[in-house]
Order: sequence, then C-alpha cells, then structure tokens
Amino acid sequence: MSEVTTGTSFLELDGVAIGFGPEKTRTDILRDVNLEVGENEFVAIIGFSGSGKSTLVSLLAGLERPTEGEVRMEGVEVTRPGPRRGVMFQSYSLLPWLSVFGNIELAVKQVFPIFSSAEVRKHVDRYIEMVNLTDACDKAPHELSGGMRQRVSLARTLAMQPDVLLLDEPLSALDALTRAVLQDEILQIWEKEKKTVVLITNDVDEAILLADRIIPLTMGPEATLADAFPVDLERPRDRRTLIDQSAYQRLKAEITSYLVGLNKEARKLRSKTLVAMPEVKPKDFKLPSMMPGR
Amino acid sequence: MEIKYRLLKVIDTAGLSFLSPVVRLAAGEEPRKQLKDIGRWIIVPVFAMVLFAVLWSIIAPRHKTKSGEVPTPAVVLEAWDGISRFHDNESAKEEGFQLTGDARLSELKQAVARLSEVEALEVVANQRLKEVRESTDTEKLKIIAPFKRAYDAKSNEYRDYRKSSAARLKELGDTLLKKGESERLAYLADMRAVEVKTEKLKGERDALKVELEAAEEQTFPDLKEALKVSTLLGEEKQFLIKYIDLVGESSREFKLAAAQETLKSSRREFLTSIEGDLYKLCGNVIKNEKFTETIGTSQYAKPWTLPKQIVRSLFCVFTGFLLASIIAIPIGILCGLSNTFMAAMTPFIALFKPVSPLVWLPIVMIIVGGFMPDPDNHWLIVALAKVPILKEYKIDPMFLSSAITVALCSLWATLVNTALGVGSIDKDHLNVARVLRLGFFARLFKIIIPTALPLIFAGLRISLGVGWMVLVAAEILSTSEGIGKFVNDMYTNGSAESFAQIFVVVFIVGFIGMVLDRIMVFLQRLVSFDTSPAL
Repeated sequence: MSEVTTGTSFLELDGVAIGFGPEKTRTDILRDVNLEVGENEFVAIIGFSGSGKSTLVSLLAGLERPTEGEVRMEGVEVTRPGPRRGVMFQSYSLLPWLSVFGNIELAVKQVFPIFSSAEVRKHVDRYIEMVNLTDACDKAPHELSGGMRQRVSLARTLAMQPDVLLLDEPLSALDALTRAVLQDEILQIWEKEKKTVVLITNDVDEAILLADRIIPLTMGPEATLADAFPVDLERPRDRRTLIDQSAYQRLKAEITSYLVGLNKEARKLRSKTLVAMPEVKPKDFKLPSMMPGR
Repeated sequence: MEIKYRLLKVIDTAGLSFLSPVVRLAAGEEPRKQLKDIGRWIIVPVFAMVLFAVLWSIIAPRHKTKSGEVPTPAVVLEAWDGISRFHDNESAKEEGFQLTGDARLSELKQAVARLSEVEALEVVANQRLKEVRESTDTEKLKIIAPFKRAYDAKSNEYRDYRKSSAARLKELGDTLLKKGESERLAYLADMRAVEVKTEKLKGERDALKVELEAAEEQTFPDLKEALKVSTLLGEEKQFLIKYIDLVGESSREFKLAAAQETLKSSRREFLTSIEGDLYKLCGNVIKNEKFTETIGTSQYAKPWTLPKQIVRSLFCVFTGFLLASIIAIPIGILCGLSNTFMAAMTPFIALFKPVSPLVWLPIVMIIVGGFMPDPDNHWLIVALAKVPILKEYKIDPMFLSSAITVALCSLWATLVNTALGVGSIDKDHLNVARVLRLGFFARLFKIIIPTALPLIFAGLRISLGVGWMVLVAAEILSTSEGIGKFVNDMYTNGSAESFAQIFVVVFIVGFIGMVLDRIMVFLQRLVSFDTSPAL
C-alpha cells in the first residue's frame, strides 16, 4: 500500500492470512493482506467471485479471526463482531417472521438500549424513510422485491449507526436497473452521512461511481490485495455525466485490463500446477440390466 | 372483491382449499376452470364416498359372524341413533332429578301423559307385530316347504340306502364263508361301490341342508320394521317409567322434603319429649340432619354415555399432548443447539421411538400405581378433583397412565422436528445476531425459536395425530373411561347392535382426528412466515 490518501488509518489489516484445514496442510484463502482505510474513506475492493472477498468482510467484521496477522480498528485489535462495524450481507439476511419495521427495531433496541419506545420508533422511522420504504413499513420480507429487501438491510445497518459500514456485494443479486437506483441511493446517503465504508463488489462501474479508492483482490487461493487505483473524480458524482468523462473511461479501462490480466495470470498459474487425475475407468460399460436397454 | 380475497385467505389458512373454487365461481371468475375444480375436488370425493357406501352395503351382509351380519351403512346409522338416544335419555333423567317446584310438576304431568300415549301405541304395535309375525311365519313356511321337502326326501333316501345296503351286505357276507377268493373279491368291490354311493348321497343331503338354512334365514322387511317399532316403543316406555319416578317420588325435591319432614319431627320429638331415651332422640336429630344434607347435594348416578366418554378422551389426549410438548420442545431445542447433547440423546430417540403404546402402558400403570397407593387421597387426584370442569370426568390413575402413555409415544415427532428446526437455522441470521451482540436468551427467543417454529408445529401436528391413535388403544387396555372403554364394552357385549356401534366409533374417532389435524394445520400456517403450503 504505497498511497494512503487520507490521514490516519481507521481500520487496518496487518499481514493478515486466513486458511482452513489442519495446520500442516492448510490452504490459505487470503495471505499477507495489508489494508489501511482512513476515517470517512470509501474503499471498494474488487475481485472475481471465489477470490475470498466475503472472507475479507468476515475478517473486517470480526465474524472470523485471522490465522495470522491482526485486524485493528482505531489501533485496537478486533476480536469479535459488534455493532460498530455494521455489515450488510449479500443475502439480505432479514428475519422472515418480522416486518420491515420489526427487523430494524430489533437492531435499534439492541444497539441503543437506553432509547425509550418512542425514541426507538422515531429512529426506525427515520431510517425507513431514508431508504424510501415508509409505505412498506409493515410488510413482511417475503412480500418485498429483492431491491426493497436490500434497502431494508441497508436501513438496518445504517440504523445501528456504525463507525464502519462493511458492504458485502450488497447489490450483486439485483437486476441492473434496481442496482443502479440503489447505487445512487447509497451514494446520496454516503455523501450526506460521511462514513467509513468498505464495499466489496465485482462491478467496476459501481466501484468507480462510489469509491475513493479501488483495490483489486488477486485470484485465490492465497489471494492478496494488489495496488490501489485512486479515484480522483470529483464529488458529488452523477452517473449520467460521469460516463462521458475521459478520466472515468481511462480508469475503467485500466482497472478492467488489470483484472483481465489477473485472470489470465491465474489461468497460467493453474495450468502449471495441474493435478494429474487418477486413471480410473469403469470396467463394464454395459447398462445395468434394470434399465431399459436401447 | 374485497370479501372474496378475504374469504379465500381464510379458506387457505384453514386448509379447506376445496372450497376455494366455490367462492371463485360465486364471484364469477373463470367459470369453466372453477367447475372443473369443483368436479375434481368436491364431486369426485363425494362420488367415491357414495361408491364406498354402496359396496359396503353389498359386501357386508354376506359375512355372518357371532354378532350377526357385518353391519351395513344403514345399520350403522341406526346404531348412531341408538347411541344418541341413550345419551339424550340419560341427560333428561339427570336434569329431571334436579327439577323443583312447578317445573318439576309440569314435567311430571307431561311424562305421565306421554307414557299413556306410548302404552296405547305399544299395544297397537304389539298387535301389528303379532299379525305380521303370523303372516310371515306362514309365508316363510311356504317358501321353505319345497326346500324342506327336497331335504327330507334326500335325507330319507340316504338313510334308507345305508340301512338296506348294510343289511344286504351283512346277509351276503354270511354266505361268503364257504366261497372262494373270486367271490370274496367281488364282495369287496360291492362294498366299495356301496361306500361311494353313500358318500355321494350324504353330500347331496348336506347341500340341500345349506339351501334350506339359507331359506330359513330369509328376512322380511315388514317383520323387521314391526319389530323395530315395537322395540323402540318398549324402550321409550321403560325410559318414561324411570323418568316419572325420577321426576316424581325419587326426585331430589321430593326426597328432600321427606327428609326435612323427618328431621322436623325428630327435632320436635327431642325438644318436647318428657319420657324415653333423650340420648337416642338427640342422636336421631343429628343423623337426620346429616341425611338431609346428603340428599340436598345428591345427583342422579348418570352412566357414562359416548359423548361424555369422547370429552374425557379429548381431555386425556390433550393432557398427554401437553406433557409431550413440555418435555419434547426444550429437549429438542437443546438437541438442535448442541451437537454433543444431540449425540447423547440419539440412542434414546432411536431406541424408544418404535416402542408400542401397549408396552408402555403396563409399565406406566404400575409406576403410577406405585406413586398412588391410595389414589382417592393422593394430593394430585384430590387437586384435580377440585378443578371445575375436569372434576366431572373422574380423573383417576388410569386417566393419568393413559395420558402419560400418549405422551411417551407422541413426544418423539415433536422432539426430532424441533431439533431439526433449531439445527437448520440460517447462518446469516446467526451472523446478524453476532454483529448485534445478542445475548443467549435474546438469540434463543428472537432468532432461533422463531426460525424453528414452523417445524415445531409440524412436529406437534404429527404428535397430536399419533397421540389420538395411541389413546384409544391405551383406553381399551387400561379400561379407563373413554372411547376405548366404549369399544371394549361393545366388544364384550357381542350383540349385533353393539357390533354396529363399534363402526360408529370408527367414524367418530376418524372425524375428531381429522378436526384435530385441521386445527394443527391452521396453527402451523399462522406461525409460518413463508408462503409455502403446509400440507
């Protein structure tokens, strides 16, 4: 990480590795990952599926502990998950037996136990309004579309008023139109609230639109973070004017070609370490007698 | 339109989806499709039921048993009438016994009037029965006559042939002593032929006998009808005589008045007497006071009728079901939460789940009996006897044994389903709980139990179904009052009527089981958060 654009590091990964399996034969999913995120910085981590992006979020959130290295927030090691690092999961993870209001209320009550019931109500309503769901306040999650569900999830995460927002591919399950609408909403909310955000994504446009810095994750296993691409496009950003800017197009071309290169490199790497398949063939090629013969 | 959707929703939640095409048709929605659905889901089942009843009516009478023919649907319906008549009569007696004042007197008057009516009707009915019987007897004789003649003729032929052949052969045998081998062999062949002929004649005679018996068993609808009328009137007469007694001289009011009169006179005697044994007279007063009190609270000793037995069975099954749920749900939750606990429980579940109620019951009866050597004074029985509605249903150790047996057999389904529900909790939901730092109990009640609730209810539904099946068996074996006891009594009774009443029980048990199941489906749907149907 050569360029740290914003002041002191707020959230950092220091030489982090994580792997699964017994110690001797452990395969590392992530190895030697270093990341420094400044306060109120919007960082996007981009990578192919299966490269360990979700594991990275779990590490940042404290849902999983690294096998090597340390995750720190404001210089203090993160040992367990907590409401200061709000996670928005790809799968919405709303509780299906609670209404929109109930889902957010559950989080608010837990994070702000000192609130009176009227305060809870006001707080929840404020965030439901922020994601434009006031009309669907009493609906159950299964009555909502995917986009609306992800909005509820966003409102729930924001209502916890976390210091860091960890967005784990929040929009990848949505159709392109809904995704664009939600991207704009996230952009607006971030510009209003100014929070530290780590966004995990596989969409280059989304990353450029939202982030201050884009960091590619190399192909797994043993994935690590590559050098960052700073996004110097001025804010507030508007997708309609953005795509016409030459800086945008150049950045997009750069990142895309970098990612494509990563993919080729990975394929090459893979062909070198090709595991020889055992030569096993069935002895009898006849169909079992119970099956109707042809 | 609003009403239509609300109705459809209610129908769907109640699991009565066969009604929804009717509602849709009434709203004029795609009539052709709805008619097709109605045809499939209403008309076809009804047709199948009618077909079943017809087949049953044809096949049942062909099988003769010790308790008469296997009852047809019509006979079963009559048995149902008999059961409800018995219940109505006993309820009327119970109420009549407690009547007081003018109400009692008017009831008495009506009953006396009805009795004379019934007696008049009975005379007519008996007269008719006699006539019908005479006419059918002659008719029967007429029908039987040819069969009887044929049988008698064959029977005589057989007897004569056997006798004459025996005499002939004996005679021939005597002359054979001086004859040689060839004659003797001829004699042997002769005797063989006679033997074959005798057997043949015997077979023919037996076949004719069967025909004759079949003819004799021929029933006459007229006679049956007359017999039924006469029996019914006789039954009503018996009831009225008893009823008049209970409303009249054996009524509580009447007996109480008599007792009070005796009490009064004994008091007077004690207070005013100037000679005699005052100790004894005073004792008499005390005795009469006690007697009056007893009379004042006395009840008609009503026998158990089927409706009351059904209610007791329902109490029993719900006691067992409640017990099973209290045991199974917490254990199931623990199993789902902890793999170690699950490993510890697995052998017990696997081993005890298949055990029949008929094995559990004796064990439970002996153990419960051990806890209650003197049941009438045991605290639990005494406490239960004070519960308002329950006390009328005689809660005894047998009731508890049956309930515990129901619990032992039915708890497994709930346990396994609860464990499964808790175990299958979404990992993302748990991650949410971890991010929110929910404590153990908040996690349990806000995340885990709501997730498992639909499966818990699926388990409860199976448990209740199993419990209801087990209960009847347990009651038959434990002779604890209830549906099972009724079946056992009817079986022991062995008459044709009680045989038909067992068939009635089949439908009652089936119907109640179905209703219980529907209720559980309804509850299951209420707690299900997804829209998948719970069938």
